[in-house]
Amino acid sequence: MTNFIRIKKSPDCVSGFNLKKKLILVCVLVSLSQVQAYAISNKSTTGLKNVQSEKIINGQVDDEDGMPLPGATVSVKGTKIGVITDVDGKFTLKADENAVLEISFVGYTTKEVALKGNTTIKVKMQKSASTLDEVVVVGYGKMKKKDLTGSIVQVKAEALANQNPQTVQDLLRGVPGLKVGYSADAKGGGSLQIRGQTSVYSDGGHNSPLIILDGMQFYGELSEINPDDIGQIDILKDASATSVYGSKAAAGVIVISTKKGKTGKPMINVTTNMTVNTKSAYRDVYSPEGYVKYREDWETAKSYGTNTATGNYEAWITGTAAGKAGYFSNPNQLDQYGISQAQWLAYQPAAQTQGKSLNEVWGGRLGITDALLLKNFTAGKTHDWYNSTFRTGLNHDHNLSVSGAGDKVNYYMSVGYLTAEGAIQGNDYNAVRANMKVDAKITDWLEFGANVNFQDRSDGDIAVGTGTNYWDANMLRNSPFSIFKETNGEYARQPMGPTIGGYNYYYDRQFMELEKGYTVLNTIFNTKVTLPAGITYSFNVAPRYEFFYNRYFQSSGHKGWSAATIGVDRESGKKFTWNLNNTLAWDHTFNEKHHIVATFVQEAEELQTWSDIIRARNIQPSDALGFHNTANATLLNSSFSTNDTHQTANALMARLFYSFDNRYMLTATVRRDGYSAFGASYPYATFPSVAFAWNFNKESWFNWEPLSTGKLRLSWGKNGNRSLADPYIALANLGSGTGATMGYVDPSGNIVDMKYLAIDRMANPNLQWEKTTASNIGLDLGFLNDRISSTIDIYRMVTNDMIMSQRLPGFSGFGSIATNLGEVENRGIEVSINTVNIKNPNFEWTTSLGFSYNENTINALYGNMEDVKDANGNVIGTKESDDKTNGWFIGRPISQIWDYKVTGIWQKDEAVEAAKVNQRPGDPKVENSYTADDVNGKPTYNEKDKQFLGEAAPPINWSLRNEFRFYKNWDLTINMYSYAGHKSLDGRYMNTYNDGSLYTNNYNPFVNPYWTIDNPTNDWARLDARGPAGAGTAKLYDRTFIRLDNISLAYTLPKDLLGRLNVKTFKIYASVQNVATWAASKEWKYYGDPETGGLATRMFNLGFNLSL
Amino acid sequence: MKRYIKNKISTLAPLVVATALLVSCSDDFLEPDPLSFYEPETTFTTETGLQATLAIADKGLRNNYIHYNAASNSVPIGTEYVFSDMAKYGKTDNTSTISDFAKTIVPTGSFKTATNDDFYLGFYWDEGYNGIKYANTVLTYIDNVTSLTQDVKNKYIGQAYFHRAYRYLNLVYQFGDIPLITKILEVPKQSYYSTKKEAIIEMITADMEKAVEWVPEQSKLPYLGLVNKGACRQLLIK
Repeated sequence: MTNFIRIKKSPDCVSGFNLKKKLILVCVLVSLSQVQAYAISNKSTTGLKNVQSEKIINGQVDDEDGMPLPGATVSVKGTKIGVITDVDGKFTLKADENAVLEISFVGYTTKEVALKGNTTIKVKMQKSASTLDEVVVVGYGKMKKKDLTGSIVQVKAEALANQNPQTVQDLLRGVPGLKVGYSADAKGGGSLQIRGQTSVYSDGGHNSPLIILDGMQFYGELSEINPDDIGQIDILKDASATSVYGSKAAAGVIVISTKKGKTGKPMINVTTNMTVNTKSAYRDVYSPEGYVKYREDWETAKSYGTNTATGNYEAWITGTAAGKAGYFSNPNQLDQYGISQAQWLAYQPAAQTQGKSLNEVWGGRLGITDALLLKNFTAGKTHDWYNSTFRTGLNHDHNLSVSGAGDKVNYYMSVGYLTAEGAIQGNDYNAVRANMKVDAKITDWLEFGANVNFQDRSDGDIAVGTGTNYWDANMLRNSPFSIFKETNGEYARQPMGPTIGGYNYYYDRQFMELEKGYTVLNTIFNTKVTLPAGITYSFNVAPRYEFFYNRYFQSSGHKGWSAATIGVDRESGKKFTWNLNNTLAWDHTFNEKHHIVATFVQEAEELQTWSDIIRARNIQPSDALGFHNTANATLLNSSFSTNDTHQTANALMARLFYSFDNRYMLTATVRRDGYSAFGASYPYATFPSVAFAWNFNKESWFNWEPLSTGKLRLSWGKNGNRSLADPYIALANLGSGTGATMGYVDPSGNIVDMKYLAIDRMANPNLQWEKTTASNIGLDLGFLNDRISSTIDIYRMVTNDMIMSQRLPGFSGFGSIATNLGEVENRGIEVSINTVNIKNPNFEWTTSLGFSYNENTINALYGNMEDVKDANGNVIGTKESDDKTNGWFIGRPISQIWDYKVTGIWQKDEAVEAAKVNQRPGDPKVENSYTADDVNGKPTYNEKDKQFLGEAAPPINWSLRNEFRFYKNWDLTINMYSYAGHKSLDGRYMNTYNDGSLYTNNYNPFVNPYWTIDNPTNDWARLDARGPAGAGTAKLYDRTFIRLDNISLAYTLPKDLLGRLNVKTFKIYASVQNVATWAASKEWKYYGDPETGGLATRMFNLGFNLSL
Repeated sequence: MKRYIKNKISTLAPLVVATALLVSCSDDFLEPDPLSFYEPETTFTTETGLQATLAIADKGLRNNYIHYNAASNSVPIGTEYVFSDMAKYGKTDNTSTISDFAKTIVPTGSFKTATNDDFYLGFYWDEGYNGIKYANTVLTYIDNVTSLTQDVKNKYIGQAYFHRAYRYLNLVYQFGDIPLITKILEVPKQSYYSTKKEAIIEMITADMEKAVEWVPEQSKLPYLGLVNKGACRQLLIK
């Protein structure tokens, strides 16, 4: 095997070509001999047959519901005679009257029927619980599940059809070992990660798995694939299964196979869905009454101090309200203070309160000084900005597919239209997806297939801004007393009045236009040649075009925008990629016991992108033409640029699969990949892998009846990851800085502007693939005829040569260089259990439980050593230094949290203690864990007080799925998942709502509890709290949660009712997505959803599916 | 039967030939292909590349007096003045004053490159070595520009020597013994040693003598603002 590869490695490609020629020659010779042999054997069998008595046998094959089963194989046992049942399940063949017929079909238990002289038979097939004969896609080939040696999980899309998954990610939730993110956007989707974060380099989706679509590498995003078109998804997790792929196989591989036409009557399938989209979790803002109470509490908190007479810490001690209890309260609710309105008014000198109503005085005391806001406050005129920001969105999803198959041609065509409205006003998404697949058997040895996928989707939208930094445009924080529309009915540009301003999305939206999206054409062409002796050769090529367009316009009609800084942005991009492979496979069985499958693959890829951007500004004399006009822009304010990239890659792969007596299986793979980004000196890397599996329940000495499946798997392998955010980081480049110029003066006195270039990045010609070495032990068990099946995998993955930025001394001219360093280890266990709990004719209940635990550790980083000192300062050894700036520590996970520990809140009786660190009651207590640097008993806070508090990436993930079937027609599915063991730091409990003067400017903050003297909570700080000098004040929250993800109910109309209408199936279903969430931290509900940390949506879906 | 096999070969062989040709010799196929940015190897085959690099070095000379950002309260030359007899730090409404040198000139002190109220110590170090980097870029890549006569080449080398000498002169008097960098690195280097101040001054003096010889007079240069013989002489005097 290795000899093969060595020859192909030689740079002299002539020798490689010669090898191919030799191979073909060998094939031809072998085929010649085989054909002869076949011809001889055929003749002899027919000769023998003529002697015995043959009868014509007619029969009918049905499935367990009594419906005809087309496409089942009926063969005469012991001979090569076989037919396939037709559309009505009928078959006819010639057989001896005493022969035994064998009927088989994928997914059903093979049945044997002895003819015993009958010429007409009727057979009913039973669905097989065992999935061992199921076919799994393993990369450049298919394998039966029983022959698998790697860790592969299969998801069948049909089973999830009732949930109406909007994106592919929704189909993948619940696979143990695969973490699927959550996106509350109208588009949906989410991040994917298999078995923990493999590398500290995470730009450009480096750690997300490789996607293979119908056998070819997929360069797009998952939204381009319609979940309705997916037949099955196989997730390859361990090194042996993924080693047949290159690119970024180290991060795991997701293999998606789309549906094919089924033999029988052509099928027309229509699915329509309507979904109502609402917000399920987000921070609240105050109602007008709450807002006023909040301002009152804020002002009162400013007056807290220690009463010198009693020694208590109470209100009305310091500031403008000293001694004036009730200064900030509603003048109509002064009973609790026991003062009259006149007394309340008298708190201020008469000069200040003259001529003003009580409410005006009150507003002034609360800091509502802007004329417009004060007027609305006294009149009680309010607007609910929360309502204006969120909405109930409506999604439509329509899909139509036509498919069918004859003996020679198999076709599948589908088109789907999706339009989605998110929970935030303005968040829209729409997509059209079409798919056309044809597979034709041109002759009995040549097959040709074409798969064309088209998508046109929108990208981005103009939605209401929800950024929470004080400089972000955010409508939620507008004061409840601000105006939404002017008196003349137009949207107000400055809802908070001309002094403060504020932001009104509805006004801005009138002056913005956006057309942005992608048009994608993805095609795959397959050719398969079946040669004799079990050799197949196939050539597959997948060219793909992706066009990006962006037309964005901001009009100068907006009174707040200056024409010089706004205008038209036009961007157009094209991405053309192709990848092709030549595959040669040999499948042979010797002596019925030795089964060998050898595969050889040669692969090449090319990726090219071109993009142009025009930024046209200051369009004169008029920008009434919107984004259709850029010619009238002022050159001085405008700019344009282009960016093109080009990458190539190629690979050679060889795989050998050997199985002995279906008991012992061995797979060995070797793959050599090259990538142009590592191209300067040596772009190749070699990745071997080996796996072994043992079906121990098939051993003769193994006699435990209940165990129907028992397989032990061991694998070891090396994989690579080449994914880079910028394919050119290994090259040096010259930058133009800010694009400015150096001005010279020429002899005639004119200024000459010369643009300059400076060397920016250091070249690294030795940049290489990131490599991961992984070993995996797996155990597949099945009990009671696979009624209970479970899989356990234990793995250990070590990634080294990670692509990292090594810091260089600044005076060398470069700050950093991209190089391969470091080592990260991931260890974990994955368990999945599937059980068929109850299986009665009228009630069925199946459960699937998945559990995974992953431990992530950084073993090495840059290799900088530092001294280890003992208690006396003596050097006792060296260890590698951590990277504190990035938060990466040796021996800790990548997402380790290292920060100060907040232990509680200073209460009112701890005022003296708090004063030692310049804090007051209501401020947070930060633990001073390193006391050796304290000065005179006064705590000093610095880096030495930071502690390891937990990790931000969840180590534990489990999911539970229950499916019920009532009376054969009702299906109920309940799905839940959970992430546990992770924490996060958050400083919002500090209530620093005056950042950027937001409080002074009367903005409305988010709602959460706060500490007051009457409400001495230990979890929330006082309004406008401060931490001690030198320490951070972020608090640790437990982010463990359980989400009841989906409940769906479907009703399939009974078949006898449909039979009369010529309809195959009709199903109505309803589901709720994100039914409920339970968070371990009680406080987190004030911040939003425990998984996203902010917005989450709930979707109610109703749909129907019709099959003709 | 034979035709059967022949058909197979005739359909198979062209396919294989086609694909083998499609994927040409592996090594060329995997060459990195930078398209939209300037790569030193290709940019420095023309004279304009050298001029562009010298342009930013020339611009850097001014930044001492105007800074490259908006500097409201002081410019870098102000820091030099405060450290000499020429000026004293005058802000009185600050709780801490940066002219308390014992507290500010420490290894863990602030090393700002852009500031308006602090010292520009970081600016001198970073911009100094940036200027040296630009000069070294010219010196390292000048041999790639094959179209130049020896005179024109010497002119550019002379101008690069000027920039390098100017930076090193300032740096040795500000910081003492500093690392000496004379070319653009090809491989990352982590171990550096400081070179003695006197040795650096000797080196730059020798460079400047050559520069005075090679750099033409202002009358022979196309623009005002480029380094000329007069400037080189002035620097050599120092």
